[in-house]
Amino acid sequence: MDRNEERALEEQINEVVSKHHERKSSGEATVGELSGYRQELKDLRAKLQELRSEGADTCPECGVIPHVLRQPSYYELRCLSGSCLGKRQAKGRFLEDAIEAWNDEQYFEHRVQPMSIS
Amino acid sequence: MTTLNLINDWLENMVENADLESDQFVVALSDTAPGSETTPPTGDGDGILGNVTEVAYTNCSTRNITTSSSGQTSGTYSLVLTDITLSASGGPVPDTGTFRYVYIYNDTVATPADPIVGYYDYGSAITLADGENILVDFGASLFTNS
Repeated sequence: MDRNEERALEEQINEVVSKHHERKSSGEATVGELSGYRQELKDLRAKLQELRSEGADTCPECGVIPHVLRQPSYYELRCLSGSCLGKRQAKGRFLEDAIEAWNDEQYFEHRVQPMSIS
Repeated sequence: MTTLNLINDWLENMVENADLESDQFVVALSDTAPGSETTPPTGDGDGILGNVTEVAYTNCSTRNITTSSSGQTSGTYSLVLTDITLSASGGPVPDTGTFRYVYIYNDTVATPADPIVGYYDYGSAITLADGENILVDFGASLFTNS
C-alpha cells in the first residue's frame, strides 16, 4: 500500500467531515448539500478500504472482504457481517503484518475492559 | 464495565437527526455519575451533552473520534469508530480533579444540541498525569442494528 496515498485520502476525509460539520451545525445547509457530503465520504472511505484491503483474503466464514482500520498503534482487519462481528479480527504493527495475520486466521479478542491507561 | 451504556434518546436521534456517515463524534469526560446529574442525561428527552458536568480539557489532546465506516454488511448495520487515545500534555487531565465517565456524543447535530450516544464507566476516578494516555477501545463496532 502506498502510505502517501493513504495519508492523502485520510486528509481528504477529514476535510469533508469538517466541511459537513460546519455547514450542518450552522443550520444553513440544504438537504442536497448534506447528502453530497455523505456520498463523498462514502466514496472516499470505499477508496481507502480498497487501498488498505489489497491482498487480504475474504472472510473464511461469510466470504466478505474484511474492513481495515488504522488504530492508534496498529492496523486491524475485521469482518463486519453479523455472524462474524466481534469474532474475527486480526492485527499487526504494519498493514502487511495485519493482512498476513488475517489471512493466517490469527485472530485476537477485543479487550474486555475498553479503556486502559499507559 | 464492558459495553457502552446507550442513551435512550440516541435511538431516536440517530434516525431523525444524525448522519452517521458524516457527523463528528467526540469524547467528553465527566466525574459525575449520570444518575447524579441535575438533569440525568439518561432520562427521556434529556440525552444531551448540556446535561453532563464536563471536566476541563486544558491539557488534553483532541477528543474528535474518527469514523471508519457506517454501513451494512450482510444485513447488519455497524458504526465503526477508530479507537482513540487521549493524551495529557503540559499537565494532568483534568487539570484539577478526576474523571470516571467517558461519554460519546454527536457534535454536529444542532437540534437537539450535541445528543449523547452513550457512556462508559471506567469504574474508578482517575487523573491522567502529564505524559499519560488513555486508550478508548470501541470494540468491534460502537453499536449495530440488524
